[in-house]
Amino acid sequence: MAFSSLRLQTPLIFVVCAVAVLATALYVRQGKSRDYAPVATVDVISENEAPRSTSDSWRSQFFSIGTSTAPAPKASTGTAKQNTEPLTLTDQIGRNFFTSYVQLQQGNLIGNETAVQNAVDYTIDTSLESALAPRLYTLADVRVSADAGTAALHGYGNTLVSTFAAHMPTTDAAMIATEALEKQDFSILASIDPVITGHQRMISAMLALSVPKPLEQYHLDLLNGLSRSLYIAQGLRATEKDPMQALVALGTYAPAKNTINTALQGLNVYFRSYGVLFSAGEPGAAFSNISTISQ
Amino acid sequence: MKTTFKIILTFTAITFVVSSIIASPVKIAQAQGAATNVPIGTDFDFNNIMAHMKDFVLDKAATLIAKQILHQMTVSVVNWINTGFQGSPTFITNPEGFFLDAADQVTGDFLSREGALSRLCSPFSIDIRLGLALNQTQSATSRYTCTLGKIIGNANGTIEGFTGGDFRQGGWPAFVSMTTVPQNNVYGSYLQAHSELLGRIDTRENQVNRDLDRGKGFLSRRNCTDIPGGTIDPENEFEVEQAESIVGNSRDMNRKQNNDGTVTYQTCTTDTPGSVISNMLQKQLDVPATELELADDINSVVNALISQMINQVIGGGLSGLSRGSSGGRTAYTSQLITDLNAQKAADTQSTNSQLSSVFDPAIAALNDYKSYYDQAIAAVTDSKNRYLTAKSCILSKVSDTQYSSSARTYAQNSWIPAIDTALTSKVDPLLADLTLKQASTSNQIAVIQNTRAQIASSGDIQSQLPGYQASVQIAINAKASAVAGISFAQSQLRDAQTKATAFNAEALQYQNNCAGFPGNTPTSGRQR
Repeated sequence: MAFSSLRLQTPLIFVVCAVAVLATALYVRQGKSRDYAPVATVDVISENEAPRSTSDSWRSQFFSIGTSTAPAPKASTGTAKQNTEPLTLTDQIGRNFFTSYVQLQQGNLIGNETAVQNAVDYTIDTSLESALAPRLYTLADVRVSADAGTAALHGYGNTLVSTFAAHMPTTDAAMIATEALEKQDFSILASIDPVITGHQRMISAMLALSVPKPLEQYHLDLLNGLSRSLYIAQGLRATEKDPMQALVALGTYAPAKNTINTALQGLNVYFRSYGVLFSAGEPGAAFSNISTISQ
Repeated sequence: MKTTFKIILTFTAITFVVSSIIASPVKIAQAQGAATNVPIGTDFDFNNIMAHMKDFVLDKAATLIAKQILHQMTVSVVNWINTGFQGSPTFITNPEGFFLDAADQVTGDFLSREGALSRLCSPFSIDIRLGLALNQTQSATSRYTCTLGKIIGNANGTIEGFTGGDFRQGGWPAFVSMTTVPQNNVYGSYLQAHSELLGRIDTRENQVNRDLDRGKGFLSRRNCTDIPGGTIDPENEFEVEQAESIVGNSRDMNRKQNNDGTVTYQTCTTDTPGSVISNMLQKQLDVPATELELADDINSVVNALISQMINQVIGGGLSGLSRGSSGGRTAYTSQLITDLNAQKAADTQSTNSQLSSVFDPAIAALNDYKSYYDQAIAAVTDSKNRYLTAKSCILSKVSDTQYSSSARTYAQNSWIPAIDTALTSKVDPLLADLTLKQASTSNQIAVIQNTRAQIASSGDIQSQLPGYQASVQIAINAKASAVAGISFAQSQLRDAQTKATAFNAEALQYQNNCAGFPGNTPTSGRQR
């Protein structure tokens, strides 16, 4: 009996020792990884555990270099607000900012200009990754007609001008938004709605329009210019609640208008080059008033 | 004048696309069934309009939007705080502890054993620290280093012994040192440390003020609330006088103009994001009112954030926004950058295509036009060669002494001058005229082809477009001229061919004369 107890004790002792060794190894390993963990908590970063000079350099390194690999503070995860509506871009930048700020505080790096700059960069980077982008069409979206004769070109020119004349908004979303912001009266933003509708109708009409093959690229450019203009109007419409998206949209203003202008000039040059002439009573006569690139 | 300009500019700016397409002296809307007069057309200058648009609208809009971002962001963060940071923020596990710690951090650093006051004279170092702590203070190392111990040590004594009443432990040198060197006595040390602390506060305030200046006022926002019963009729002098006497010139008051013509007086407070967020944190976390540092810190980071954002947008448009950050990370607008690159490529392709549609037809038309002159020149040159062949033949006969001198003299004086006259008066002038037109056309073709090649090798057509404007105009004009001049060139070719036929006949006659020499001269005969 005593012999059997001894035989039982040996594996038990071995198991206990093995568990102890494994636990020690695990503890040591955790202790090591904790030194490099990018997510800092106040109770972890105590003066007792890490000498100030060491921890400062660790924190500086984290914000100066490590932010590129640090996990993004995803502020968009389950908040009270998210339960009812999705976070706006402005909400996200606000939360990312606050997260960065707290991380700077935790790292005692508020006075470190480089760290602050990197945190700011990181905040903007992270937030704008989820910014909405304008829809861009491709040639596959354009209804192309094989008929590239003078009559077809002529008909296209007249229809295009008629479409613009019928739907093109006569007000500008940026000016409306500016007025609303100046007066701090965001009901004014409702005036952007017709701009949005006008662009939507124009895009629909242009998608339905049959385009002579040689003009497909100009038509596509016009479509994308209008799509960007729609994106700007929609972004600025949300100025009150999501000004960050409005700012991003506003940044595309010049390229959008430039695209439309260039496409119109291209059509004009093409019509002139191939002798497509519009008489004074036709809508397409408006092309004669478009400056060419050289003018 | 300025107002008129602004109105014109505004109208032009908001309708520039419309005007570009419908600005025609026709009733465009007639096509839609409604007779609407559209502006009488004038060509628009897109670049000029966009420049004005940027100056008068876009920059202003960006600035105003940035302020709105600041406001909305603050509201959003405060709401987030109010929900108790629901959404499991990754930055913190114990927010109450953190913010309490943050509040005490500066003071703790200053007063810690390893801090700036670590070498205070030991008998009163606790008192100093406690005094400063009670005043919520902080502060450098060397200027607080106690030198009394060294002096007393020279006398083999201790500070505790000397200050405990044993004058022998240090003597007069220690006494003098203690009473004259500030950091060696309790009062001097306290005053020195307190002064240092005030200096640091002053420095920090200046820093905050600099940050505020850099932020161009982004950080502050006035929150105004209507004063109950504070709405008056501005026409009622009594009410106005009464209200103004109460309000005076206080900066905390605001007069709001209502749509119905009345004026409402408001009381205003100026908030910064830092103060709003900090206040909310204090309220939520029940943190003592020692959080002023926190508000300033939040403001400084917010300032950096908004300043950078607005500078990038205004300074460089979206392309500025999409620049990679200093850490070598990918741009935060990677999503938009892809679109922009696609847009740029599409724009470049489109522009290239448009330019091709101008240059290629122009080159084709000019080549077509030039081909008539090529043919004409070839025909007339052939005639000239025939004359020269005849002349050469005749000259060889003239120099051959086997023929009679009279025959040779006749050929020399009659046929050669006749050929020369034909060449100089008829063939060469025609050839020169045709060659001039051919060369001019070739030159135009070369210029356009050269420009075309430059554009093809250009990486960024859009930015160089203004430089190609003249070439585009030349191409358009040249093509128009070539197309218009085709029939004239054809007639010149026909004329040249007719003349060449006549020249050839005449040249053939002289060739025949040469072949039959001297038999066909008036004085035929051979000299022996």
